[in-house]
Amino acid sequence: MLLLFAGIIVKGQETTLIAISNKKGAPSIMKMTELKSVLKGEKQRWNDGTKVSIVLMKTNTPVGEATCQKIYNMSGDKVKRFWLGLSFSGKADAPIFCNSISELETIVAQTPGAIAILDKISIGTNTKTIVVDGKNSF
Amino acid sequence: MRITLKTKIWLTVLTIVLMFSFFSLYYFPEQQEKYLLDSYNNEVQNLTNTISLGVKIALKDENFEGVQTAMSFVKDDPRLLFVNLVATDTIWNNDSSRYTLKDSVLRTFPDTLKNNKSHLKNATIKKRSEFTSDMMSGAIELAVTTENIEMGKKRIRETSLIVSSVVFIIGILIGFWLSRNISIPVLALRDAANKVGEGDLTQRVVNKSGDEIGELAIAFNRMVEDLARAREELRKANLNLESTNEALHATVANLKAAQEQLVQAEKMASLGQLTAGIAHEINNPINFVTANIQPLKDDMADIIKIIDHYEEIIKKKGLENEFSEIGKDKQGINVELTKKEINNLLKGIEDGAMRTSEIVKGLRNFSRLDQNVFRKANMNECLESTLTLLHSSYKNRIEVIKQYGDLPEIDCFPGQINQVFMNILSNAIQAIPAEGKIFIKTWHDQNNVKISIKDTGAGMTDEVRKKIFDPFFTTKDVGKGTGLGLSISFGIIQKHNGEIEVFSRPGDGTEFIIRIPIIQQSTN
Repeated sequence: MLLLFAGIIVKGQETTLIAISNKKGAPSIMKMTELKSVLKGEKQRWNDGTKVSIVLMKTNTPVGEATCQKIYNMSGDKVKRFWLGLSFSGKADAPIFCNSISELETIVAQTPGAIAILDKISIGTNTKTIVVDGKNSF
Repeated sequence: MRITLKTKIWLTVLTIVLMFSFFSLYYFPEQQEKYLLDSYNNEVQNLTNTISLGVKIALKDENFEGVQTAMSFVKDDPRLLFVNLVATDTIWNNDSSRYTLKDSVLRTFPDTLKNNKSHLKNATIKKRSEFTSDMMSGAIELAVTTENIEMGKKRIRETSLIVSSVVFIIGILIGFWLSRNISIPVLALRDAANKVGEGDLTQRVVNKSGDEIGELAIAFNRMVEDLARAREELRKANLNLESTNEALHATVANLKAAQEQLVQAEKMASLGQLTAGIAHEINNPINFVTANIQPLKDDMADIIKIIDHYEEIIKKKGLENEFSEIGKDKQGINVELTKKEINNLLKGIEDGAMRTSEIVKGLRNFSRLDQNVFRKANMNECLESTLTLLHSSYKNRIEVIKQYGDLPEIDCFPGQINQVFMNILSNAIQAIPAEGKIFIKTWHDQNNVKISIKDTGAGMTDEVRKKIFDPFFTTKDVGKGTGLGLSISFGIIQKHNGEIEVFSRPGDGTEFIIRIPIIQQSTN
């Protein structure tokens, strides 16, 4: 079991992730700590005042698992529980969990202030890639 | 204890009403409230389960809005107090040998409410529905108020109270109605039956209802009519029977009276014959006495005269010595006293003979054998004869005051008339217990002789007076009177075409007035 868990972690650690956002709201360049802070709901609004909307792949997808590991350093269930606690305590709005990359991209493109994590570069008409710690992926 | 029909009706109605009131005020509301509460509990539990299922599905889909939506499913429900999303965490001890479950509320709706005990009132139902997902184990807790249930219970009780009141009033009205339509007619029937039982057959019961009571009233009326008809027939039959009976009684009484009269007449005839015989036998010897007493007195007067003359000569001529022997005899005899004694003895003999002669005459008058032939007789003499016979029963006790008129002789049966006087005078003597008087008065008019016999005895009441001529009626002790004397006397006076009247009052004595025609039309 531990080996399996370790395997999943390793697998998660191997996946390369990219942060994208709606053109409105999020800055194009961020630090990892700043990104984690946003994705953990610690920052509710962007500098321009736009409300932060977090869009993630479901935790049972490879991208979701990787996101949980790299951003939250938790398992998928714990991330959901984490967000459940935050959202029900009113401290933050829960992320939007998507089943597919295309759905995720569509939501980001349509939602000002939206920020998402995915595993490939996506250039949409209304999205942008955020450079984290000077890199396009992490 | 006697329980009347009215009481029974009221007890029945009240029992029904009270039973209904019990059911409507207590049992049914209790059952309805229990049913309502059960339904409410089930509904709340189902609601909780639904939310729980919605939350579970939303969590599985990582749809946090869905969780919110599921929890908001009941947000518009006015009964909602709060809905909690509870996370159940397993907390192990340090050596992982034991664990405890800790509930922590993740979400409460409405947001303003915390899962605070103060929200749980008495009128609160709290339901819990647990779920388990990959993410977490937890439960949905749903608390709703039961105020609407309480309101419903209150409405049920109010409705029950109103229904019970209405039923109670209806019950009272039914009681009155039953009482009026059952008890009152039955009581009327009872009263009518009682009066019928007392003999009033005019009783009828008015009841126009077509029920059994009405039929009973009709049957009762018919029965009373039949009874009245039967009684009328019975009365008529009874009257016939009574008249027949009276006739029979009268016949028997007449027969008995006739028999008694015959016996009495026979007795009187025998007595008359005996008396006549005795009178005849005594009359001859007494005639010798009465006829010879006067010559004897004359002879004795002559002898005494001669003796006195002898003594006068002896004294005048001084011959005492020659008649010394006579003088010696005279010394032992009181001559003067002897002469007086002789006169007295003769007088006594004469009085006794006269008295005996009168008695014999009375006996002869009384015992005349003249039942079938009217004879001339003087009522004064008849009265005297009767008084003579009764002399010993009233002498020295009763004074007889006679006021005889100058009466003509009348046509009569002297023996029977004597019998009448004997009966009346005997009763008069017996009516005077100690001393008293009897007044006898006779007079006459052109056609009738009248005799009044009045005593100063005890008298009699009207009731007795009306019965004294009835055969066998007597106020005397048993064995001392036959009750026939005055009845026979009445018959005798009637036989003489006369009248006999009686006047009496208690304490004022009694007076009989007899009227007898002087001349009888029929002298058979």
